[in-house]
Amino acid sequence: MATLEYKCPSCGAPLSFNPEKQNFYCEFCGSSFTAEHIQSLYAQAEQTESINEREVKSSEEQRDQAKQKGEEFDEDCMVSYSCPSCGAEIITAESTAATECYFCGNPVVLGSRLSGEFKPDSVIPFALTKDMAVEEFMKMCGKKKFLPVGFANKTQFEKMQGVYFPYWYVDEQMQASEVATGKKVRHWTSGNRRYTETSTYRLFRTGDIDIRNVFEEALRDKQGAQQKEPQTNREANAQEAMKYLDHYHDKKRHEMLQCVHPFDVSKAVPFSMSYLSGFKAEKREVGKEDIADLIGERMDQYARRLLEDTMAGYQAVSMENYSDNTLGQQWRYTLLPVWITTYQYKGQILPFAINGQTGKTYGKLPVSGGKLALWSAIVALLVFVVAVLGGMFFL
Amino acid sequence: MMKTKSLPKFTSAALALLLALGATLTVFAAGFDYSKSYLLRDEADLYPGADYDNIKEKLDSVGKQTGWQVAVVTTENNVSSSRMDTYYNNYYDNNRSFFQSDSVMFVIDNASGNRIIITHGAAEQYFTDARMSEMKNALKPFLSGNDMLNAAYTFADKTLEFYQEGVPLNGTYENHVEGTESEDDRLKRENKLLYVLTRWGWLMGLIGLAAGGIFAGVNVGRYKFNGKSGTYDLRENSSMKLVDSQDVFLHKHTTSTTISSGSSSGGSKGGGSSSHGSSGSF
Repeated sequence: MATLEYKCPSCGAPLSFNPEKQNFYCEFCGSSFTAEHIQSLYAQAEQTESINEREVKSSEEQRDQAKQKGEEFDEDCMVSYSCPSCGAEIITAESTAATECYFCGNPVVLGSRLSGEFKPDSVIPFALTKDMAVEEFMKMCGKKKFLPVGFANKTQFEKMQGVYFPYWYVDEQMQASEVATGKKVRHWTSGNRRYTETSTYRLFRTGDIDIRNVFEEALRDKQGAQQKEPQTNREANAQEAMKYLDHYHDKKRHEMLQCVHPFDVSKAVPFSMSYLSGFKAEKREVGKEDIADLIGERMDQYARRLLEDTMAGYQAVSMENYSDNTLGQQWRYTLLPVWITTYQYKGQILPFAINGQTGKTYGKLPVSGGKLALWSAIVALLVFVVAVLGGMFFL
Repeated sequence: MMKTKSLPKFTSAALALLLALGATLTVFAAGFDYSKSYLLRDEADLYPGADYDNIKEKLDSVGKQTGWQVAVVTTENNVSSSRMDTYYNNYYDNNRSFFQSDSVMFVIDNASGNRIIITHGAAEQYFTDARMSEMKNALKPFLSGNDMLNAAYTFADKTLEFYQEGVPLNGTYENHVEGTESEDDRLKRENKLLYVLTRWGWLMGLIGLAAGGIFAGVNVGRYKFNGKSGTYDLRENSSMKLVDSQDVFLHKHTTSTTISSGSSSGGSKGGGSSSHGSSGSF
């Protein structure tokens, strides 16, 4: 089967990566294991899972069969697996690479999703536990006075999930040249005349440039699940899987993930499936070729900015010619840790995200209209009184 | 400890207050009495002893009948006849806490020998030019004889007489000086809070509403866009070795403009006084 479950070498219970201790900790027997230890134990299994494509194909066949049966939900986005612990069917989105069994709750890594060209180069392991992430979120809420009553409550965020999102990181070495014109303007006064002298220069700049860690998300936008009453367990499971997609596979996911940046990529470690145990993970869907142009444009833009920064002292710098020669380019497919959750308020699903490495928070918080109106009225009244008192002194 | 430390401060503050009050009382005690119906200030000391009390009683009686404040003021200010009107009208304005809005004031400047009668408010209508002349004629014999006591009595009697005769139908009021004070200025002087609320309240209200709106908007924004977008830090993630850097001069041109030397100066100083009638110095 194309799933991998990490078990405690001491007692055999499910094993998850512990962000706080940066090791593997068994909640049942209390044993701790280093990442290296677990990786060496599971090296063989990970290797096997990485090259096992058969289950993926089998899953695709299942999907085709389900389609033929006329099941209406979006089958294009789901694949089924068997839980290695309880044998239950795990239905996931096609891009999901790590999840947990809906029946027994054990963490499962879908190794075949991270095989071959889809194997990430590096991963930034979670540094914040779920409790720490909730704490960060509560800290953010604590400073906000206009949240609806009961919103800043830890139980609201019990369903917070740790997800590894796929990103491309690109480094480039290049030699870039720019020709531009710049002006220097000088003013002086003599008698009753004011003089303005404008000198025009042609500026030549060439530099050896090294640009690192230009990043781009490697996940596509998808449709969520259709909200209908499930007829079979399989449909129910599928809908559960699609709900997970609904939470963050929408147009605003990109903005959400952008806002929890930056990540300290110097802390990235070579990829190992073991880091995914206990978290959800998404495999990349965007290849180098899909974003090569976009990254190229961004590199050019950054190189020009670096060259133009050396043209200080000139006004109205305008570029005449730019050229570059790429000397080297390195792409790294990296998984980034993000804690995500959602909150339903007045029919709206509001997503929240917390950087799993730094704790930086993002989210559109709900505002209690009544509280805000009351405080705005108080502020308006205070300003009115101050204005009247000021008026009595100055008018 | 607290009591010991604060006692000297309290004592000195109390002494300062007593001194200030004492000084005030000393000034006021010297021939100064007033109520809503009368005011008598005898700075020139023209009414010694019982005369002072008799005049006070007379003025009070007339004031109560007319509803005006009937005032006699003697001074040693040595004001010239041409400045009597302005000077004593300002004197009235600057002492509004003692003077009533409706008043008739007979001023005797003992140092210069000039006198004036100044009316304010409702009394103005009763003191036509003709009656002012009549008042002057009635006072002259006593003033020329330096009989200030009877001059004061006559002033009070004539005031009551004019009141009882009512407002003349075709009287002229050339002796009246219309102050430059507008309704706004008057309200501003008399009730600043009401002035600010009625004249500028709309603006204050708008400022308050705008502040409330900005407060709400900023907070909605803070909640809506919670978390600054993570931007790529080029400085931190890049390095550059400049291998060629040339700045080649192409050309230059110079333009000039003439500085105009026009200048303007201006400024105005405004002031105002209340409407009043006066007899002119006599």
